[in-house]
Amino acid sequence: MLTKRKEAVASRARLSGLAAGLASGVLDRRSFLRRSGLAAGGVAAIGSLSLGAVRKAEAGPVVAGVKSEIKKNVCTHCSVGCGVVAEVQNGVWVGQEPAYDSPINRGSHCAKGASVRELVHGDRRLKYPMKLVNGEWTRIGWDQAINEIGDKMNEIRAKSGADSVYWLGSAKFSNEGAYLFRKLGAFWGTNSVDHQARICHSTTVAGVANTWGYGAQTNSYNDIRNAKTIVFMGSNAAEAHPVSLQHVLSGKEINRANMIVLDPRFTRTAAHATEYVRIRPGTDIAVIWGMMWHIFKNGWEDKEFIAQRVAGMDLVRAEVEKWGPEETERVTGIPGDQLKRVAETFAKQRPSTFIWCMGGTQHTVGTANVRAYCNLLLATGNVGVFGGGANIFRGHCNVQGATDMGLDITSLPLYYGLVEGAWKHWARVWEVEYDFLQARFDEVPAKSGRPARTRKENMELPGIPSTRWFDATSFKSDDVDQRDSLKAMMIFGHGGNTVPRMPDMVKALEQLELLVVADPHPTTFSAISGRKNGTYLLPICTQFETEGSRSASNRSIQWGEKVVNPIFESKDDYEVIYRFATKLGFADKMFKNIKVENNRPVPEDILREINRGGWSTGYSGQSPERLKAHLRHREKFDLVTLRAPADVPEVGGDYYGLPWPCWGKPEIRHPGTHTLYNTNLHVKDGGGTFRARFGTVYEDKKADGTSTTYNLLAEGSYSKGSELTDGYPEFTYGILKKLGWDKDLTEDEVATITKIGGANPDAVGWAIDLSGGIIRVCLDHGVLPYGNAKARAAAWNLPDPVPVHREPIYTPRVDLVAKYPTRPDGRQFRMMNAGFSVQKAAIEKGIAKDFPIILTSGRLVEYEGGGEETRSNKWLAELQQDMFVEINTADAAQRGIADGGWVWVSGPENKSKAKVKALVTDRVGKGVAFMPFHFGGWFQGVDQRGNYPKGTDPIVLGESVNTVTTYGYDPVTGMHEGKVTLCQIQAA
Amino acid sequence: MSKVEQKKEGGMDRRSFFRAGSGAAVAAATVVATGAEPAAAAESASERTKARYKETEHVKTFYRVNRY
Repeated sequence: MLTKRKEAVASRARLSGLAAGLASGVLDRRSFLRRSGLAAGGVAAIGSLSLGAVRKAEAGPVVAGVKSEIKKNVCTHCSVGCGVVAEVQNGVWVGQEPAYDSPINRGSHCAKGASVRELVHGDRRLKYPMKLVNGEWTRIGWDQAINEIGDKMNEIRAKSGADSVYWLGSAKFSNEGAYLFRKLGAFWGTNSVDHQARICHSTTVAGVANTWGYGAQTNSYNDIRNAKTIVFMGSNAAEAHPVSLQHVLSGKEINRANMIVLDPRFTRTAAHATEYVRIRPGTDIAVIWGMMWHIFKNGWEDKEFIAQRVAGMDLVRAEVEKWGPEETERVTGIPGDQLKRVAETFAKQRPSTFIWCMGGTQHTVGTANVRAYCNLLLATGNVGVFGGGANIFRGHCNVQGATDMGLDITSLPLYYGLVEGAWKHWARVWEVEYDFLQARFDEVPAKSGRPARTRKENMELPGIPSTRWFDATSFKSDDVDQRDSLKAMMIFGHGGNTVPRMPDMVKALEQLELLVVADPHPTTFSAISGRKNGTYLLPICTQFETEGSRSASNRSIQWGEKVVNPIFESKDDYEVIYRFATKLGFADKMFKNIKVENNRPVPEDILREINRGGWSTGYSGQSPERLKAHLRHREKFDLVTLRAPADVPEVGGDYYGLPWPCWGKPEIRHPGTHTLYNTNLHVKDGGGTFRARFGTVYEDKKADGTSTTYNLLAEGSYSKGSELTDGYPEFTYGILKKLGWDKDLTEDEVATITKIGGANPDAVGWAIDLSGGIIRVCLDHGVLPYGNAKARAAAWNLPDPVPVHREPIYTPRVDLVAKYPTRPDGRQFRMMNAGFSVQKAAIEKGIAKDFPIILTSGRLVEYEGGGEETRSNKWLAELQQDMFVEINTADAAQRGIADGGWVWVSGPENKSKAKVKALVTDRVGKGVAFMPFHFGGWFQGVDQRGNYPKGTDPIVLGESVNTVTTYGYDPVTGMHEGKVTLCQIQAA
Repeated sequence: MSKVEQKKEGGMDRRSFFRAGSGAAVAAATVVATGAEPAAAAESASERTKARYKETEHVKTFYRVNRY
């Protein structure tokens, strides 16, 4: 719970006897550690030293006279990408120094970053492979584990097909690990390969990519120092991205920037704001349209920007007209004059940046929310400028990179999609036959009136989102649009408490034939169900125990050095993936161009393969050599511009971490792109335009037979130094020829293009040109290989081309549902999305009467994600000992709930309930409750500590918020509704 | 259990423990600032809440690299 640490007495009153199970008691720090079984280690050892010895040990457990090595890595928690400087003696991580040289954190850490050393001391880590034998955890060896798992997978494949095995990957992988895992899924023959981006920013990626081309943060944390107005909506960065606040608060102080926080909860971020706006959860689109109503009404929009660089804003304008101050206040609860003030500030005091997180994305309307935010930025001309932009703060340390690497059910690596051209591109990069890959996929028979699918059709169809794997397991085979329902889960680095409807998940877990959890810690998956057999735990090391690159939220790619060898019997992802590929019989093909040493693929070589295929996203220029040079010269990069001075050896002129796109081959030394779509810079200095991804014109056909044609190319806007001074489409060999630029290609480049193109070389595009020639020539002429387009205010290919407000499925405002219903039921991602039926049933049953409080969820600074790793870290566990619910003072008084007392939070589905402590506070408004989502290990009042393998149980356990959260999925990405449901709260 | 009793039992409070135990806490400049003090002296309530800011080398470096 958020408590003031200085007031020791007050905070102790809230501590519970967590280690003793459900019994409540008062624990101070020392008793806490002792009863958690921690005192046997460091605390007791140091406590027993004489005072003299303690004084000598002041600098830490560094041994005098022993050679120390400094290793540089990156914090493995959030996406900010703070540098970590580790001091190592005799292979032991003995000290941690401030990373003053990193331009991202400049010597700072949050609680998590300051305690990462504990991850590799790891007394709660999974120590060796284990399997469940008749309900008992049993130690086994790696060879036995890989053999048994592989045999079972092959058995399932023969009986139910490749799609019956689900590959759930991780944002904790390095880029190289994520890429290998996606490749493993492709060689296995399924597109059901996913990771945490599904549940954090899948809607962001879909929303922004459909607006202006790429699915990523447009600017950077550092660049927020240039902003004049900073808006946070659904982002509590002070807790979720603590060190980012360093840049925000410096900018606020130095520029006197406005800092506006829109959130249902008065968060720690809101505490720093110049203006706080409380909204009703789930009304983001209404809020944004309400702001834009004032902007259009008063002519505050950027007319030139819209005319030159935006298509379809008139359609948005028509929708916005419905959101006058009265209707906006009726739906959102925000007073009209406050929203007008915020709108005016955002439009006039530029540059303005808009920051959003999971408060915006985790909704049934997540993609539409994101596109509304983009429209606000576009209308005010705040994209493609320093100090502006969509600063999307992503979650885990490599969630951006893992998304880029295609751990996504809708795409191969680097956003090539799943179309035939994409498969053929990667087949060329991997040097395997396209037909071999196709043969790995299932043929799907006709089921329940749905047509059959060929192998080719199946390999081009998106897989099942991680939010619904359990539906795909427990649904009848006929209801899942693939050969059979799911039978096996291969879970690498993903928590089991991260998705709503956990009671449904537990039932599905018990139905699986095979469950494999590969992780440094046994996650909720391994403890929550009543499984007795067919369950394996594989110890994977952390990123501090291996090498590789990771992409921070701002697209900067940082290389991490190995600090220590993998502890206990753990192995890194590379080796485990290689061993599975070997067992499954395709390692030779899969690792054809990747060097393998002692069963371990070399990460540098994996990155080189990524470079060879990653043209579409500009992942081609970041060679391991360049990234390592950036690590060596970290201190040379500017705190605000992220750029190294031109005269610095090796990295001169580069932006830190070569943020993608870093165009062309490494040797042309593109500096990376600090700010996407910035026409004020030459493309060779990281300049850009909006990406021409959706053709050159769009004909909008209306129901009455008329139609409007929209020009999708930019008009009169182009990046600095461009030889083309108007919009242009993406480049192909044919277009180079028309411009006469093909003569700039070398003979070798033309030969490669001709070979790829076969009968039609003119159609070879910049993104599949393995020679990099088309890109190189484009850069020399000052143009972007991907074209120069308008951003799309209306995304015609999506369910609501212009976002419209839709009430959450479980809404307290039943009066608004008739006017603003959720979308109709429909089949998406191989299953029925029955949101409309669920909303209708909730109204008919009067759920809002029995469950009158809105429940929302979010992060705490001390923990991360599902929380097993951080709850196993004694320094963090001490700081947050209890799962809790924030309940408004009025709601608590009405229910006789006391601050610190136990309560039951019950949800509207499955008779779900969770026993947690009450934090009575006005941080949440009346009728709103908040729960953090990092807890697990208790389930509906039952302590499951005994279900973990001995010695691996996290120190802190607690109920998961997702035990009581409910149905609801975004139609575009399958994102769950994690931020709005209904609940009831009663004293326990 | 009060703070005083806790110290009698183990001889160290939280602050001293961090100081003695680990470089992990160095990042918080205020913790570093106390680094030169003896480890185990018992503190009264007023001592515990007194201003501890000292402009150490770590603090100066932090200001320099962050352009304060």
